Order: sequence, then C-alpha cells, then structure tokens
Amino acid sequence: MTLSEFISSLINKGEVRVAHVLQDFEEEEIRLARIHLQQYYTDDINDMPGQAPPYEEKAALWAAGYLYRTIQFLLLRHLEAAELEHYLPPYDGEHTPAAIYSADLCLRYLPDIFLLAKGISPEDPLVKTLVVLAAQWRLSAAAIPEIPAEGLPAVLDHPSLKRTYTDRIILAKDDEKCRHPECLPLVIEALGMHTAQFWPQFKIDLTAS
Amino acid sequence: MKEMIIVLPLAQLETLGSIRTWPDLLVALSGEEIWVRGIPVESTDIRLRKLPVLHTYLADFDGRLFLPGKQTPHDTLKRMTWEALTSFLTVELPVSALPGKNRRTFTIKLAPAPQTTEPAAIITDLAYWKAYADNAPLIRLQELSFAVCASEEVLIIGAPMPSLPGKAFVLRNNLLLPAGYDFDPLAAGAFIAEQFAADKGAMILFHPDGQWERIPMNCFVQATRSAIRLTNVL
Repeated sequence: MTLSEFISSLINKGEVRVAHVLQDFEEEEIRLARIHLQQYYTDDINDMPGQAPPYEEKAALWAAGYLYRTIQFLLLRHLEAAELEHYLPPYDGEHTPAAIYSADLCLRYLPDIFLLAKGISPEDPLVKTLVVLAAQWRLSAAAIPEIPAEGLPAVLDHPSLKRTYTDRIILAKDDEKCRHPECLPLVIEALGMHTAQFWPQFKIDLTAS
Repeated sequence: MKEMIIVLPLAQLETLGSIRTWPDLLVALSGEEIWVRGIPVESTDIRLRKLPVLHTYLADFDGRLFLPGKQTPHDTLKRMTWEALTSFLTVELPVSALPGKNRRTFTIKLAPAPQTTEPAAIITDLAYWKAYADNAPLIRLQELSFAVCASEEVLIIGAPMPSLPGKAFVLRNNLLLPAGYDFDPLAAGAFIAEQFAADKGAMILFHPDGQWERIPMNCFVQATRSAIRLTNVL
C-alpha cells in the first residue's frame, strides 16, 4: 500500500496496510499524497469549530509519513530500534496553528496507535518515541492520559483549536486534563449546567477560588 | 282431576310465550278463544297466574269441566283440534339491536399547561442553527438531531436543547406539543398518544392552534458541524 493509498484508506475505511519493508517514498506517491491530504483538509474543516487554521502542506505530509512509519514499526517487529531515528524524524518546522491542525489530520489517530503500541510492549523504544511526539503535538495527543495538559499556548491561542482540544478532553473523559487551570473554564463553559447528564462523575465546585 | 285448562282471548296469544317451553301443553283454537290444556292441576307458577285468562277449568278423565272449587261439572270439553304449543307458537329471532350512533363531537384543544416541562425540541431559523453549530461544544451537538424544511426552518430534537430564538416544544411519547401547552382535557393526551403509538417512524408536531403535522424520523439527521454547515435549502 502506497502512502496515498494509506491516507485514502485511513480516511475512508479507518483501516490501513503498510509495506513489509522500510523504503523511501517515491515522488509519485508523495505527489498523490499531497492531493489526498489537500482534499482531506478541505473536507475536514467543515467539522472544525469556527474558522479552521489554514492548510500547511509540509506538516500534513510529514504527519502522514510519520504515521505510516509508526505503523510499520508497530507491525514489523524485526525492525531495529536504531532505525527509529532515521525513519521517524521530528517535525523541523514551526508549530503554528496551521501546522498543528494540518499535522493533526493524520496524528489524530495517535491515541489509538499509542494504546496499541503500549499494549504490545510498554518498554518498546517506539512507545518512548511516541511519548516524545505526543508531548510536541498536544492537540493530537489530547486523548492520551499520559500526556498532561501542559505546553498548550499554541493550541489555546487559536479559537478553533482551543474548542477542538476542549471537545477532545471532554469526550475522552480525562479528568486530570479537564481540571487543569487553563482547561477548566473551557470545560465548564462547554458542559454548562448539564454536567450531570454528560459526565456525572465530573464534579465542579463553582465556589472554589 | 286430570289437568287444568285455561282459556285466553286470541288477541293475547303472544302471552303464552312465557309458558311455551312447559312440557305436554296443547292448544286449540275455538272462535276468538285459545284453549290450553295439559297444565298440572296443582300448578301455582307465577307465569301462569300472570296470563290474561278468561276462564279456568279443571278437567277429569271423562272430559268434564269443573270450575275451580266446584264439585259439579260446568261444561264438557268440546271436540277441538289440539296441537302442541311449541309448534303452534313458533319462535322468531328478535330484530338485531344495531349500535346507536353518537353524533356528538368533542373538540380537543391545546390550552396553557399547569406545569412546566423541559423542552425537547425547537423550531428555529437555519441561520441561527448554523451560527450555534459553528462554535458549539461537540458533546452537545452529539445529543441533537435536526430536520430542515423548505422555508429554512429547522426542527431540532434532543437534550439539552440549545438556547436559540424560536418555538420550543415538549415531548410526550412521540408527540411534540408547544412548550407551555397541554391537551385540554388533560386525559385526551393519553388517548391521542395511543392513537399515534403505532406510528414509530414519525414525530407528530402540534401547533398552538391545534394543527398538527407528521414528520418522518428519516427526515432527521445527526447534528454534526459539517452536516449543519453543508445544509442549504434550494
């Protein structure tokens, strides 16, 4: 399955296949992947609250490749840990709202992959790499309990990303993140007086200073 | 004595219906009279005593007729053609009692309700709905469904209902009543709900003026930001 097929299948079916060997992506696959990602972005902004950040192709393409490689490392257990650094390079651009959202098009599947990787082998170097990655991409890692709600300015400064992050930590019922001082007001605003209906276990003390 | 014989006017023939099923009764016509024989001498049945009898005789085995309590014969039994009462007096089926028609109509209307109920639906403008969905928390949208009509009005159902300008409705079974209203009389609500109970595939929306409309459930779609944003009335 090529990178473009990987992206297409991920979006449309929610299931993916990867190549049995690690090899660089061909120019043609990258060209098609760009087209798929651009279309994915155009469709996805309809579900984003408010005005979604603009598209940043570099971040989107990096994230798609990263996800592809991550699944390869997850499934192909014979691969050496030393290859992680080469095939899973960190994003070398700036973490702007556009980059955060564009990367999130693929990295939003990170929580599921993280859970899977941790389930297979908690001490796997891949898990450690994913923890580092998740700490850098807080929006995509919103539903990972191990990643605290720290270092959020880039997310919370953008209205659309802020609402998306709040939605995700509420849907994940992540009590710790929701009680974070930066997040609690947003969570209270979202739940309003219906906390008992949406999340009975989440108690809000409105009298606390 | 052998038997009792009674004589009735022919016009009172139908009164014999009350003793028709007694065993061994025979009747005979004589002019404008009906003679009935075979009645046990000692009979004091109330049905017998209620008959409009002209004469009562006790007959002996020789056919002599005695007035009750008298020792000497009053007459002799004439020769007549006797026939069993059951065949003489045949049975006719009664005319069917058709059910009566109640021509009275009862008007059920909506009136201000004595109690308040949390709204379960709202009709608002598509523009308001889009504006709300633009920044609404996802957890709230997930609880809502909506249907749009050609006049760009949106019916939103679910809970909690967003605070939008529009007409709110409360849910009773699958009936949507204007908020603040209930059926008058109240008991009619259960009856009307029962009438529509079989129609699981639709919601019945009542307006304050008593008009109602059926909205099929397949007209509703899950509220998502994209579904709302991409909804356009042509």
